[in-house]
Amino acid sequence: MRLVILGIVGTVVGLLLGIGIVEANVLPPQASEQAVNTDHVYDIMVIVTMGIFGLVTAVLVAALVLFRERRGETRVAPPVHGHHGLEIIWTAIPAVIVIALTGISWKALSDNESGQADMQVTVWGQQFDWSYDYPDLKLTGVHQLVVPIGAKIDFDVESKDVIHGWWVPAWRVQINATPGQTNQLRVTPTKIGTFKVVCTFICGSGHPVMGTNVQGSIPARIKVVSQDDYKKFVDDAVAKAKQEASSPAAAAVAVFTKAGCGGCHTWGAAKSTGSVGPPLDGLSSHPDAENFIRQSIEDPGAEITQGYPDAMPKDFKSRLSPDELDTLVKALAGGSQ
Amino acid sequence: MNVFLRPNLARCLWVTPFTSLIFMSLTLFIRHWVGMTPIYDSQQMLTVGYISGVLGFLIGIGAFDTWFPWMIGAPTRPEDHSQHGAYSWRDYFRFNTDHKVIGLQYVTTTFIAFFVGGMFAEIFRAELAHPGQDFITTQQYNGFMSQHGTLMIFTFLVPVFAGLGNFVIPLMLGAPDMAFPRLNALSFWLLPLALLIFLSSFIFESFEAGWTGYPPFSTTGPMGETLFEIGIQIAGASSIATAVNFLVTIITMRAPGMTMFRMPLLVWANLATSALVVAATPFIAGAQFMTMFDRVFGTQFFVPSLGGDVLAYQHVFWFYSHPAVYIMVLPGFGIISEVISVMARKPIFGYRAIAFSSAGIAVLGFSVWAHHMFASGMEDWLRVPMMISTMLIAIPTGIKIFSWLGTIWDGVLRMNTAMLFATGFIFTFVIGGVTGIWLASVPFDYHVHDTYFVVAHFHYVLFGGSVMTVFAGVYFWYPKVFGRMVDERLGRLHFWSTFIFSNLTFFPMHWLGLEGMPRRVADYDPAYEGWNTFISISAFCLGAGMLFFVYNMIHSARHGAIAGSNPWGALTLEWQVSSPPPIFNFDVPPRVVGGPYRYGEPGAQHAIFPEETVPVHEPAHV
Amino acid sequence: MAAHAEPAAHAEHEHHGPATYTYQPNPFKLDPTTLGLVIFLTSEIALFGAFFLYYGHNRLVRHYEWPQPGFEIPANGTAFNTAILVASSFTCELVLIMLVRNLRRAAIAWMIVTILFGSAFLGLQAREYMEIGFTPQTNAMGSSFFSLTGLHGAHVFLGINLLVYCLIRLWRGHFAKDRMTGLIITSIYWHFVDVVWIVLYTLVYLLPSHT
Repeated sequence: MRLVILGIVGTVVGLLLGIGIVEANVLPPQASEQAVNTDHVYDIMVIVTMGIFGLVTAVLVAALVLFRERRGETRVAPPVHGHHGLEIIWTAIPAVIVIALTGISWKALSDNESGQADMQVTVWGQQFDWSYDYPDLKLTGVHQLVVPIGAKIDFDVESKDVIHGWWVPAWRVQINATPGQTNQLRVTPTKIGTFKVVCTFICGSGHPVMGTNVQGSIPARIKVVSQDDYKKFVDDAVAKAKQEASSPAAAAVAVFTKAGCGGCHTWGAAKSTGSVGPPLDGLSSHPDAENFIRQSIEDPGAEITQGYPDAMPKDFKSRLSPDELDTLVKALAGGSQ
Repeated sequence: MNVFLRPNLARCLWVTPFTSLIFMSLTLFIRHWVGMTPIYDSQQMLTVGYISGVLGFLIGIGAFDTWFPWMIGAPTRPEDHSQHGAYSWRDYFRFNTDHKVIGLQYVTTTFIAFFVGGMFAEIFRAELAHPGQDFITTQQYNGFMSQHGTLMIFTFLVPVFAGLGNFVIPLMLGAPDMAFPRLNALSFWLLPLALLIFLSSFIFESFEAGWTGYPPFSTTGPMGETLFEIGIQIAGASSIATAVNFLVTIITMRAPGMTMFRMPLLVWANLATSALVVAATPFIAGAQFMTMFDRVFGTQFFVPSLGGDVLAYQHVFWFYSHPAVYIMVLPGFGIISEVISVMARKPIFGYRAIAFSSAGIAVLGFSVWAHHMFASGMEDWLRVPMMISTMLIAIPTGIKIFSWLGTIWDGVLRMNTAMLFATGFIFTFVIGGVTGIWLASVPFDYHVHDTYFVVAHFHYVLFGGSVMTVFAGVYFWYPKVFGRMVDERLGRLHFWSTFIFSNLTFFPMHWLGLEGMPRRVADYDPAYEGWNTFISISAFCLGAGMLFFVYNMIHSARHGAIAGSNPWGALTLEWQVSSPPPIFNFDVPPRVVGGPYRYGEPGAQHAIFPEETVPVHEPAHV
Repeated sequence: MAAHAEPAAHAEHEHHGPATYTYQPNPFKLDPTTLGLVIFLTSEIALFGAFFLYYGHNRLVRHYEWPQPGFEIPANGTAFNTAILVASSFTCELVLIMLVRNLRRAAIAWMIVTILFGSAFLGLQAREYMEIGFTPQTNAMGSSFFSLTGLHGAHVFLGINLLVYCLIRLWRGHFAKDRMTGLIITSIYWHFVDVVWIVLYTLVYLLPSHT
């Protein structure tokens, strides 16, 4: 019957459409094992469900064309109330399809999370920036995440204030940074390069700048490097930490970075370009620089610079230790070095 | 009686602030007596002021006028129907117990919310047309974005079906009104209050945490968040009261002969939806109580350092909010069944399957909530069961789609505006349903969660789905409500503009999400500019197309062609009385003798009116 | 009782009310008002459910301690409160039984007893609040405890109000054997409040202090 032919044609067109969507490849390039597994699931789901879409659309459009009431039409529609066979088929086939899709997804999920991790990185989300700790290396507050290719990495994602979302589109993985708990994510990077990080959870007035490439954000990026380059990074980082312990200026930059100030403020010393809040270069020329800066950090709402919003988090006094605060204040007040 | 003492809006003008002031003073007094300092706490004042203001408004409008005598043991006045029915335009602005009046009050109020919420969307789409901050700040963007979602869900999509159902269902059942007409009126009046509460948060600093209001951002964020929490309670109370009304009406007030399987499918849809509302809405009320208490009373529900658990909110919240999406779409499915069957002049294909699938969706809908939380860091073991139940819920939905196709196939299709919306709905809803299946897959969701892909999905099912069904219902029952036909040319313009531009607005969002654009952002990576500009322009055109609708609705009420009682030649009971219906619906109670979709069966009847010698059957083909 | 002998489709007519109806019988042998209340009570169960969900999530999934270290839940003392509330449910039922037998004075007496029991429950709970040693602001489990019992207390308070209105109307002779829907509704509500308390007491007081 023409309905059957129509259905088959519609399904085939839909399947081709699905293949077309998959080939169009709008996803970011795959940079992890998880990406490969996830994209595999995506490909199958798109093609199969597009087949169903094609079927429905073909029947719908054909019906609207074929059975449209013509002028002077006297035909009476047949009083068909149902058809058991058909109803069973269109219950059973979708059931089989969704069960199959569930199975494929389940397999991909367990493949994505299987195996023992080789290393662990802690991810900190805060208003409005990301920072990273390497517990094994005793490194904290690292801004530019560097990881070696091929390693199975467990990311422990945590938050210092509200909920954020840590997403690396190229890796196809995402998890929320939820205060009060640690959420774990497993990734095995398979491509060397620089990849962007995006905050996916509304966290306040700085939510957009926690994503890479957004005007005024410090590029929140991840670098995946070769095993050798990673060793070099580790050595450099450890040496830099030692240096920071003895250099107040470098230590101040470390505090600045760790607290995420660069998401909203421009400061040459830290190479940040944030523009939500006023620029911090040249504060040394302020008449009562140290006290002014200290107040601006501890009680931002007390005095708002004209033309800027009252958006700065009000809890830095408790977030930074007294030493960190002192170091930062002195460096900001002492000149733009 | 003086206009300011009779129960009406004028009385509300003074009773509302008066009650607020009394309770706010009481709060100050209690704080002083208990020794709390400072005596004036802005959050508590705001909360007390607003909630007592709601009480005052309800007293002013006359919601308690029959309760007070009951409470003090005075003899209750016998029902004189003075609050019932619309004899002039003024009757639409007061406490009215006629379900037809309430239905129109609901639909008008919800459409106002639709247009206001839509305006907010146009504002932030203008900002999003280009990257960089153009003319609103991030906070203002967050505010408009949150208000858009909140208004659309709680003051448009959930109540508009209550309104349409209010008008149509007692008529469809052959009943003179709803089971509890006064409760019905109370349900309605809570709605404009909720709308005003949400909008008034702009005075204080609009709430910014989205319609989802997750703590800790919602417990530490701007002042207006408390108003979000209060508004939800009011809207939720309205919803629950209506649902109780629908359930009791449908169960106890069907015309004799209307067995369960002779009920029209809109009634089945509202039955399932009302059960969902009763069981699920209190969970969002509870969630908002908890966040409100954290804000106003300093409780620690969601303060991790003191044992609070942020995820608990999400579980409680989504336990309602997932069934909420079915609340927003099941009545629409009922409308589609009505429209398609009548416009194809063919019985509904698979009546029982559609009826049972509504019930099935309602029940299954309670088992899928955590699919909104795959990326939240919730318990690992919960993910796969939720994935399974989410995938399974596609099956009853698919049954409906195929059944509607089966109804349309081989019918005699009258492609008027109502039918255009009903068939357009099938196309766009299937797209939304398909992306929903993808989102059910946990590994895929990890990539697209909280991105524009999700925004695309839910706009396809809510706009391309629910909103299209609302328009289908409005165009279908307009002749019954106003006694006049709409202008079909304007209707077609409205349909095509809506259909084309909604697809153009929401389809590219799929790609944006897959590529890496997150949601709820006032600014984005300049690489996404092209599609964002395209989407914004399409959104403006979509909004502009709504003007055809507004003009049509207003103009046709006075100048449309006179509609008889049954312009569509339908069999259901609402079409067997005049347009508009008599004040008490049926002068002669009907008796149901068969199913409601018996088109094409010679001599078949749905109902007869026993006092007549000639039984009513389908009038000549219009 | 004659129905209007007019054809169905015509312009609006003023009526003194709707035509008389007999409806399709339904499987629930309840009158609409009682059915409405029962459905509403389902939503109230769901409201308590939201707070129990929070409590359950913290206890069972997050394994937070309850009672909190250093504090005691007065399960034994509150057993007395529970007994009073349960007794008030019985006395409430007695009001209905007395009224069905046309014993108006006895019905009024038992209603007064019910109200006294209910108020005693509230008063004892208020004292427990003051003596328990922690506040809703102390920590999350404290917030949970106070919100659960507080929500229940608010329902008891509303119930006492309804009982008082019923008492006034009983006194004025508004109720009779075949005209007591208001009384039935109130008593069903009161039983509901009692049942919720029994569940609450078991889950929040009794089981945690004995395991």
